Amino acid sequence: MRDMVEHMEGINRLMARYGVKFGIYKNREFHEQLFPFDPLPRVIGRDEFLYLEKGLAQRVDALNCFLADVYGEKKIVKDGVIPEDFIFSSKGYLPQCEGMVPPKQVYSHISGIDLVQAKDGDWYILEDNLRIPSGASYPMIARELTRQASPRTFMKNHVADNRNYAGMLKEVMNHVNTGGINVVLTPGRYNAAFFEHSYLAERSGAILAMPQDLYVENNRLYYRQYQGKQLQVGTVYRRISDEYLDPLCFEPGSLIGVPGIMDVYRSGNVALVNAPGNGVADDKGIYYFVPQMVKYYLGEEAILKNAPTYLAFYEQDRKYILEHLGRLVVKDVSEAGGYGVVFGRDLEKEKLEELKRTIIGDARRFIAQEVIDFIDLDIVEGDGSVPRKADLRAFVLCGKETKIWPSGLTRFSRNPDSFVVNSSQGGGFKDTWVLSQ
Amino acid sequence: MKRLRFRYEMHLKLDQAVWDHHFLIRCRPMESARQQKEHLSVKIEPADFIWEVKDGFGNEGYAGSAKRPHNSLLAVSEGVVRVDITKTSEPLHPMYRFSSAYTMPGEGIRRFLGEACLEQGREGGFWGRNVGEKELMYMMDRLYGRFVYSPGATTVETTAEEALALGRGVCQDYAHIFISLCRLAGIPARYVAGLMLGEGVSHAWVEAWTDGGWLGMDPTNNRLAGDGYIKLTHGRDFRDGSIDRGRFMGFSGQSQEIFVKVEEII
Repeated sequence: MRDMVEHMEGINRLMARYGVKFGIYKNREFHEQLFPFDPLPRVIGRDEFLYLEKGLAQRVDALNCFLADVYGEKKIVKDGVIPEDFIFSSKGYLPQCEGMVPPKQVYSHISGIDLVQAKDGDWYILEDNLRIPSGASYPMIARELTRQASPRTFMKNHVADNRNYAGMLKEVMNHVNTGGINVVLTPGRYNAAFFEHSYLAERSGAILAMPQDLYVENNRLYYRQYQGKQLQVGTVYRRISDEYLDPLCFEPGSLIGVPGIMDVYRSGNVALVNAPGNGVADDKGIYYFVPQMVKYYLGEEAILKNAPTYLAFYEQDRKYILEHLGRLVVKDVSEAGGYGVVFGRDLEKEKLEELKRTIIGDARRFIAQEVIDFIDLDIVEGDGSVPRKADLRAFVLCGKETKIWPSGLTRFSRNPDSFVVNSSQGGGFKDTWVLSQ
Repeated sequence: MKRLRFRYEMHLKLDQAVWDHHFLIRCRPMESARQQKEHLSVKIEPADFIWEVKDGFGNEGYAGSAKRPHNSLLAVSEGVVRVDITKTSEPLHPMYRFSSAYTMPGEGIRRFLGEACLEQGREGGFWGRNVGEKELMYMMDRLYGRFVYSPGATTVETTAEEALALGRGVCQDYAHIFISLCRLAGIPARYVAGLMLGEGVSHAWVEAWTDGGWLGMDPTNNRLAGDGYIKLTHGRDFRDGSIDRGRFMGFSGQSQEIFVKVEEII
C-alpha cells in the first residue's frame, strides 16, 4: 500500500477539483476548506470486521427499539432502566414526534457509529450519530480516485469494494418509500456537507432537491420540476436538521424548511430519513445506557464496549468524577462535533476547581470518561510518516436488514498532541480497507 | 356542566399580495372527557386544500395551502361545546415535568418560589410531591398580587423569567411564569390555549397535575379554569400550543385580528 504515497498529490488535486470540501463555521463566518486525504489506508482484517459487524448491528438494532419505545410505550422508563430525566429533558427529544410511527418502523436508517481501537486491540464505541451523520462520501470518492491512480494496488490486495454504498442507500430509501420518488434534501450550497449531498444523490439515483423545490399539498409531498410538472415524493433523505425541517412544526423562522412536511410524515405519506427526534438516542447522556438497552430490548450482552463512562447525575459516579477529574475527559451532553469536550489533564488547578463547581451545579449536563489510549495510525508527512490518533466512523444502514458498510471514514488529528479527530476541528481522513480474505 | 356557544375569528391582513401560503390553524375545541363538541363548523379562506391534522401533543387542527396571490386569510370556527369539569383524568406525560424554552426558571423565579415556600412554613424549599390544590391556589394568588396585566409590555418571545422581572404582561406571561413555578416545585404543568366565556381575544391558562388529574388554573384571573373555558390546544409552552402558524412567499407586512365570543346556552 506504500505505492499509494506517490499518488497522494495527484489524488488530493483531483479531490480539490471534484469539490471534496468541508465547510466550517467559525466566528459566524463560513469557510470552506479541503478535507485533507492521507493515502495510507486503515486496514481491517476480515475476522475483525465480522466481529465489528455483529456488534454494530446489535447496537443499532437496540437503538432503533429504544426510539420506538421513547415515542411510543416508554416501557424502558416505566421499568426503571433509564431515568426519565435523560429522555424527556434532552434537547434531542422532540415531543412533536410522540406517537409517530415511521414507515416500516425504521428510525435510524443511516447511523454513523464512532469507534476507536485501544492499544490492546479492543474496540470501544465513542459516540452514536443517529441524526444525519455525514462522511460516507469521502472514502467513496477516495477509493474511486485511488483505484484510478493505482489499479495495481487493488489487484495485489483483496479489499472489499466500498463503492456499493450508494446501492445500499438506495435499497434503504426504496424499502421505506411510501410511493413516489426518492429525493436528497439539501439546505443548499453553503452547507458544510454540500459536496456529499450532491454526490450521494447522483450515485443513488435520487433527485437533489433544495427546500424551495418541495411543497406540501393535500397532505402529500411533491417535487416541483423545472417544467412545472409535479412528482410525488415517497422518501426524503433530508440533510436538514430536525429543528429547521418544518416551520409549522418546529423553528417558526426556518427558511430552509418545508412547511407541512411533518404532517405528511405523521400521516404515513412520506418517509423521512432519518426520523426526526432521533437526537434523544445519541445524546452523550443516553450513551451511558446503550449497553443496558441492548440487554433490555434484545436480551443479549452488548458485543461492543462503551468507553468507561460516569454519569454526574448518579451520586456515586459524581463522587468518582470529582476525585479523578485530572485524568478524565469531561463532555457536555448538549454539545456535538468535538465542542464541549475538556481533558482534565489539560487544566490548571484553578480551572479544574471551576469545572468541579460547574459539574456539581448542573450534574445532568455532564458525563466523564476514562481517556482511552487509542492506537496511532501512520500518516504521510514529507518523505516519511508520523503516527497520529485516528478514529473510525462506521456506517450502519437499516432497511429490510441491518447492514454494515464494508469500509468507513477514518479521521485523524493532524496535531500530534490531540485526541480530537472531528473534521470540524481541522483533521484529515483516510480510506478504510476491509480485507475480503 | 355548561353548554357554550362559541365563535372564533382570525383575520390575517396582508398589505401586499402573498402566494404559496401554508398554514396550520388549530381553532377546533379538543375532544376529551372535559369537553365534547355538539356542533362545529369551520371556514378557512382562501384555500386550495384543507386537511385535518393532529400533532404529538394531541392537538387537532387544519392544515392548508393557498397558492394564488391573496391579500388576506380568514378563519372562522363556530359551534357548541359541552364543558363539564375543571379537572381531567387524562394520563400524565413526563415531558410536562421539565422546563421548556419559555419556562426555564432563573434567579427571579427561584426566589419567588423560595419566598412562597417560606410564607407557607415550608422553608425546606420545594414542595415536592404532596402539593395539592391549596398550595397551588396560594402560589397563583401570590403571583396575581405581584404581576400587573398590561398589554404591550411583553412580546410573544418573552420568557417566564423575563416577564417576572418586568412585573407586567399578558395571559401568556402569567401562564409561563406559573408553569415555571409549578415545575420548579415538582408539579408537572402545561400551557393551554383556548377561549373564555365573554367577548375578546383568545386566552391562555395552565393545567397543573395534582391528585392524579389535570387541574385547570387561570393565573391571569386568579381562579380555576372551570366550565366557562374551552380548550383548543396544549403543550409545554406557548410555542407548542400556538393556535395559528403559517408561512408565505412575498414581501408583505401583516396584522392579525382575533375576535372571540363565548356565551352560555341556558
